[in-house]
Amino acid sequence: MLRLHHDRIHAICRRLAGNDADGQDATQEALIAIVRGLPRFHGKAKFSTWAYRVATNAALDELRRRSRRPVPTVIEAADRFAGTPAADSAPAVVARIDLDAALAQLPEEYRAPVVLRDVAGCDYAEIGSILRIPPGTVRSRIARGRARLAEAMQANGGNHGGAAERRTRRGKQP
Amino acid sequence: MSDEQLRADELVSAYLDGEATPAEIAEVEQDDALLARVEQLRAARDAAAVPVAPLPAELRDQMIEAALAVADAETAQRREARIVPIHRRRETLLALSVAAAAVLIAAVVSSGLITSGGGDESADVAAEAPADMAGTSAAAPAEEAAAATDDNADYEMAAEPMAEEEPMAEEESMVAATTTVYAEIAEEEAMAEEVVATADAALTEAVTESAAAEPEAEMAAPADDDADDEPAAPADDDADDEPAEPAVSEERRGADTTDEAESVQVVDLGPFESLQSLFDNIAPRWSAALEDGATADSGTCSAAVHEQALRLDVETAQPFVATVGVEDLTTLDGRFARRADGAAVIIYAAPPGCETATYEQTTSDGS
Repeated sequence: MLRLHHDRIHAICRRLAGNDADGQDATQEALIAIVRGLPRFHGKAKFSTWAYRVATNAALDELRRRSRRPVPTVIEAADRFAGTPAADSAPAVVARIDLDAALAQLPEEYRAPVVLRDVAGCDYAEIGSILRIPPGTVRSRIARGRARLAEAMQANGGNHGGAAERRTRRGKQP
Repeated sequence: MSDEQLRADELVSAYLDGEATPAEIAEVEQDDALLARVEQLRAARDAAAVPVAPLPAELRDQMIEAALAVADAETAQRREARIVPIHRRRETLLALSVAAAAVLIAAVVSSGLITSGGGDESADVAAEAPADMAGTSAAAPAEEAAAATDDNADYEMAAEPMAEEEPMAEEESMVAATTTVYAEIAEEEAMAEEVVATADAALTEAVTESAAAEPEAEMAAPADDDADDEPAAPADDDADDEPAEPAVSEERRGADTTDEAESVQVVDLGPFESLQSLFDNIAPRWSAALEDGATADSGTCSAAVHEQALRLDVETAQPFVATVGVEDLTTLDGRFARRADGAAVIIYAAPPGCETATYEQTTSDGS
């Protein structure tokens, strides 16, 4: 089960945490919390919903912990990305840093639903269940989060061309 | 940002996510400004949706193993730190106290015997004994005994008046009795340990079964979960994450509880402003409460609810308790249930009068 959901859990943690190191820490915390919590999982909700909730909480906890310690600068973050297998090109690094910076500007209440929707591919009902908010609130927070993200991206000079080209495979494309 | 802009963004965002109603879709597609906004928000959405590179398989496996190791270590720690029920400790202490008192009484009684005439005869016998053993005259047993100590340390005690021999035997019997008591205590403790171990094993088995059942459930309906290439499924497709699944619940209750139906977990759903609010929000609250492990003792009227459930001849899920109202709070007991015709209902009862009623859930998922 953990292996099955690991990538999605890591993706949520990574996007919410804002960098690879914190994302990995949050993923590890999430995995531990999931294993610990299994006896309390009654199967009333889907395992994925429950696991994503745990992952989201772990990532948000990591964010809060991070807020109490020095934040790496963009240059440090770029250095860290330089060694990762996924960061194979300079534009990709820049796009990722810009995206992380843009997401970091979103308040937690907007960032979590946006990430759960766009990264984890959850629908509004599932996000509502994960974050324990009504679907109507999910809808409004995602809209506000995206609007702010769009503003942040424009303010950052639109360095997201590469990102925009690699559109997600999830979600409807009306 | 104006309210109008916010509403427009909500509309556009829902349109992008396939969560808009047909009327909203038509509204967006007929408005050029909204269509332009669709493109802006689509860019933001696509940027956020850039796939995260998965971690290398080795690292992934290490992380999973570490998580499992932490859980195993905690489980082992919990087992080592098993708490002995306090009544068991009391019993043990009581038994030890009784045994100690018995030994004390025996000592007092024996010293009383020595002081009284009853000890003379024994004293004579005792006086002869060392004499015989040492092969000397009985006239000076103490001196002879003192001499005998050099020959054989085993006879050292013979220098003491042997009058204590009989009381010592008595004491030995008391000690033997005490030993028996200790043995019984140890046996009881062992039995208690065995019971705890059996319960532990049963619990572990139930947890294992529960954990093992999840992958099957997940494999059975992985449609939206694992299909990365699929568009987001509409809410109806995800009905299985909603709380009321009586059949599964009954099965689980059967596994979790042994023979006492009264120990069934009562889920605390917390406060609701009104009864209607409870009906509207019960599904997510139910799910959330279960995952939080929020439980409560059922208040009054559980029996009434139970009777109603039986009369309706429906499967029942775990009972819940909730408070309803803002100022004038009412405790409400209820259960999810499914009628014979398949309709999901909530059976609830609330004081005063413990009247029962049913509420048919009208959610689209039919749970």
